[in-house]
Amino acid sequence: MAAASSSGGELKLTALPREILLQIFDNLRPGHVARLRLVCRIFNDAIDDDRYWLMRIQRTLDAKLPVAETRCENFHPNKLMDGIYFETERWSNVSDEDKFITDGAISHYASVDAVQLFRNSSRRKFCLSGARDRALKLFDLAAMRESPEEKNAWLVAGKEAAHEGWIWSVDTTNCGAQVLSGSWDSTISLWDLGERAFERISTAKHVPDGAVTGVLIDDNVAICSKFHSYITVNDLRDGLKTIARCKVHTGSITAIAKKGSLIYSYGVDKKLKVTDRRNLAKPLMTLSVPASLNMSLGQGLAYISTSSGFVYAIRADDLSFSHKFKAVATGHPVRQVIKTSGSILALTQLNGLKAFTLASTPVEFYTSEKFHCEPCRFDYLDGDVVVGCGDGSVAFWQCPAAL
Amino acid sequence: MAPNFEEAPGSSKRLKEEILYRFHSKEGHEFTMEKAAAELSGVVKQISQDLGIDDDESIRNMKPIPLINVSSEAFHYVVKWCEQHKTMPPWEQDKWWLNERDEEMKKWENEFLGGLTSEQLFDAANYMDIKCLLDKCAETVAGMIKGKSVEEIREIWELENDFTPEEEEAMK
Repeated sequence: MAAASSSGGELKLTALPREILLQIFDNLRPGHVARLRLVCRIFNDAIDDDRYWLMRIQRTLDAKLPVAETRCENFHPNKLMDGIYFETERWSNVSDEDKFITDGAISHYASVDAVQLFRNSSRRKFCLSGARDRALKLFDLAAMRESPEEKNAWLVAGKEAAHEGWIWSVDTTNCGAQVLSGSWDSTISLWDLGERAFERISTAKHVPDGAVTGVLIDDNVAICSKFHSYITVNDLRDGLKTIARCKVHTGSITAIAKKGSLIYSYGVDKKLKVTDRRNLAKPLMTLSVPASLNMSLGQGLAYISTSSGFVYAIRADDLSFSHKFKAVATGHPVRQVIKTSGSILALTQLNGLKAFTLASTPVEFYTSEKFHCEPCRFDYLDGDVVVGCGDGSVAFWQCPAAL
Repeated sequence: MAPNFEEAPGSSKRLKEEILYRFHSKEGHEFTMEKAAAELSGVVKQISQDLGIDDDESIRNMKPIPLINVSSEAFHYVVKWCEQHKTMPPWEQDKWWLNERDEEMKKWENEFLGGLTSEQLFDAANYMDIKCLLDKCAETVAGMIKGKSVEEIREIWELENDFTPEEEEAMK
C-alpha cells in the first residue's frame, strides 16, 4: 500500500461505494461538501441528494426535525445542515474578546426594550436601539472591533427625544435606509437614516389605540400592534396614513410577527391569532395558549416563550401543537426566543442566553453566564448577538472572527 | 514493500491458549485473529452465528472462513488493526463521534493510516464490516480533502471534470 499523504495514491475516490464516499464527507464542513459537487458527476450525484443531508442532520441532532420544519416550502436540507454546523461552531467559540458593552454617554439611560441588527447596502453591520429614555441610537459593529477602547466611535447616530414616551419597538427597511419606531406615546415615526443622523420623515398618532407595542415593516407598509388590542396597517409612502385598523385581540397585544401577508399576534388574552394584513377584520386562525411573554416566528413554527420556563413550538400553518421544551428551570422566565439558521436561542431573565438544537426534542448546547444586569430584548444576525439591557447598556457578542 | 505474511501478526504462529479464528484471503493465504479482534468484524460475527459457532471449542475446531473479497495485503493490515483494537469498548455504530480513544491509541491509528488509506483497505473494512476501521479510513481521507479546492481535489485524485461547461455554470 503506497504512501498517499500528498497524492491520492492508489485510492480511487470515485470507485468507492456511495455510502463510503458520503461517510468521508461526513467529516467535512457542510459548506465544503456542497462545493465538492463540482468535482465530478459521481460526487454531484452523491451530494446533491436531500437524503444525504437529512441523514446527516438526523445524526448531528441525534433526533428528528420537527415535521413543521421539514414541510416548510423553503426547506433545504443542505442549507439547514450548514446552519446547524455554523451554530455549533459559533457557540463553542464564545470569547470575551468578542464581547462589547456600551457605557457612559453612548449608552441609553433607561431600559433598552428595542434592538435590531441589520446590514447596510455595503454589508456592514449596524444595530439600532430604542429605549425608555425615548432615544434612538445607531451603533456600528465593525467600529467596536476597530477601536474597542474608543467607545465614542461605536455610536454612529443618536436621536434624543425621538418620542414623548418609552420606545418599545423598532424595525428597519432592508438595508436600514429607513427606520420605524413605535412608542408608549401612541405614535409611530418613520426616520430617514442619513449621514450620522436620524431625520424624521413622518409621525402618526393613534391615541385611541394606546401605546404602540410592536412595529414591523412589510414592503411599503408598517404593521403595528397596540396596547388597546388593535392592529393597524400604515402606509410608509403616504405619511404613515392608516390603511387598515382592527381590534384583533381582547387585551394588549404583546408580540407580532409576519410571514408573507400573514400577521401572527399574541395578546394578554392568551390568544395566538393569525390575520391577513389585507383583511384584518377576519382572523384566519386562533389558538389559546398559556400565559406568555413573547412570540416569534421561525421556519414553519411559532415559538411562544413563557414565564414558567417553557417554550412552546406551534405549527405556523395550522396552529397545531408541535412540541415544547423547558428552556430554563421551572418558574424562570424566558423573555424571548429567536430561531436562527441552525439553532434556537432563548434569552432568559436570570440565566443568560441559551442555545438549543433544532430537534423536536431540543437539547441545550450552550448557556452563557448571567448578564451584568437584567436583559430586556435581543436580536441575532449571522452570528452576532445584541442584547438591550435594563440598565440602559447595549451588549454585543460578535461572531468569532475566525468563523 | 510487500509485507511478509509469514511473520505478520495474523500468521499462524500463535500461543496455544488463545482462541483463534482462521480465515482464508482472496489469494488463499491463511490468517488468524484472536477472538476479540476477529469479532470486531460484523461479518465474522454474522458468519459464526450462521454456522452455530457459539463457544470457544467450536471456534478452535472450525475450518478457515474464506473471505474471497479481501486481499492478503489488506488482510495483513486488517489483522494489525483489529489486534490493536480488541480491548476497546464497543464501538458506537450510529454515533461514531461519541467514540473516545485515548491519546496513545490516536497516535497509533494515525501512524497506522499515515500513508495507507487505499481502496483495498476501505473495501476490506467495508466488506468485513469493521466499523471502527471504516470510520478511521473515512476520517483520514477527509483529512486529505480538507481545505482543498475542487481543482486541487481533481488533481490529487486524478478525477476528470465530466461536466459540460453549461452544467458547471448552472451548478455555481
